[in-house]
Amino acid sequence: MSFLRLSEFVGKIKDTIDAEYYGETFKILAETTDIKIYYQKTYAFLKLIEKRGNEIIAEISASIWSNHFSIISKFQKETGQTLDQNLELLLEVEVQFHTRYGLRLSIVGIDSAFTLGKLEQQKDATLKLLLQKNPGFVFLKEGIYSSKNALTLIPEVVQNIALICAAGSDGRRDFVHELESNPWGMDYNIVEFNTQVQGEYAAKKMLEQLLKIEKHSDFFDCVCIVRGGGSNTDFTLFDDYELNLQLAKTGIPVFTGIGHERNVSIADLMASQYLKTPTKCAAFINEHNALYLSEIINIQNQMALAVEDLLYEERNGLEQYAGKVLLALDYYFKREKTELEYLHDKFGLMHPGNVVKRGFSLVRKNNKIVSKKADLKKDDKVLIELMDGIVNATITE
Amino acid sequence: MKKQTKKDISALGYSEIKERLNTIMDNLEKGNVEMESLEELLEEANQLIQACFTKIAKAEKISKKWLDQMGE
Repeated sequence: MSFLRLSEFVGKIKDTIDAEYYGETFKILAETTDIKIYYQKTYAFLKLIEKRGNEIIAEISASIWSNHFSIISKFQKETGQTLDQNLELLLEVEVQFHTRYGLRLSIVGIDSAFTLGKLEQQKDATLKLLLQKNPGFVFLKEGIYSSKNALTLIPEVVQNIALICAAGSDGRRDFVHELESNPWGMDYNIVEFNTQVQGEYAAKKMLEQLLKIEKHSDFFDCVCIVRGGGSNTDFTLFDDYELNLQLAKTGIPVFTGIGHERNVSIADLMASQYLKTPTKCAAFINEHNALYLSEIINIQNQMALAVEDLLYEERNGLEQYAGKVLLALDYYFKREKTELEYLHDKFGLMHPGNVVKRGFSLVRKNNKIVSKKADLKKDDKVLIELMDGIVNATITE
Repeated sequence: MKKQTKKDISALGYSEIKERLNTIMDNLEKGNVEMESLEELLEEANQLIQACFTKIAKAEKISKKWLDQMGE
């Protein structure tokens, strides 16, 4: 009876497989599942499957070894998508067969462009669904999506901020630092609503916080959703349907600063203001408030000029009035003077001295002019004033 | 124009402050101000501006009790 030892048999399988596949790479389309990434040990294990409906029709183990471990961070950085379960990926693989551990695929590359295309397709589908089901909250104008939230009026000064972020994150730190170091001395009231910003339940948690903030919409001037960038980030949560529907409905202006340069998420489109980073989000608020301050200072300056003009006009008016009064007084006094001079002349002619000079004589008794005969009696001493002198006389009869 | 008392001014929001200042400014520019009331009007404008700067420099902080009620 002939037989092969297991190692010989498995070795033959390996030889057969190596003969066919060794040293070659293949591009395959597969869905990920059961993924375990060991960041410290720098390798990852996962399963690749293909489904038809809900049925798995193909399945194989796969790994990413240390020499290709960097493809994980490269993929996440390029796509903004965490390497996670249930992702359909275009992979570059090598076939490996180990006599003890069996068959597995070694992943040596992940096609980011394919994933980006898929994400865009998903995003597009979500946007269309949002628009179709919520025409009162989501709009499409000239090819650009926006929401009712984007039409919400931003208060003149944004001071009470509801901040959705991960506790103690870089994004939170950058945002708060930028606000607090503003050069205009503006003070802020920041209320944090901490949440997960990545992972399976991140969108749900964020939605809960958004709903909580909405209940206190009277108090807050805006909602800021911030998250720091980096390679290990997952932006797909910001394309979540339910989260974005609530964001579109929220009555307080929402500003996003979710730290990605890749492209624009649905949350960015639904938000009132889309800023690329938490720092830029805070800077926008500072500048928005500074604009108000500059308007107030401008009014103050204009007011000073207006008052100056007003006082100048008033003074000018008073000066003109004073001039008119002076002219009137001058005219009045001149007229009065002329009148007085006339009277002076007129009365001057009637002066007793002038009367005497004209050839008349004056009779005075006790230094009083005598004008009636009855004022005189016999023996009265009188003075007779003549043109050329005075004569003493006595009344004889 | 109706004069705002100091208490009224401190209760005004930013939009109302700006609106009020713009009204004063408009009246000044159009000369719709009696000289006798100019000083009073400028005092009001000054109070409005000061109220605005004070509000910006010191945000009204949310109370701990309120935060607790929110479950934060």
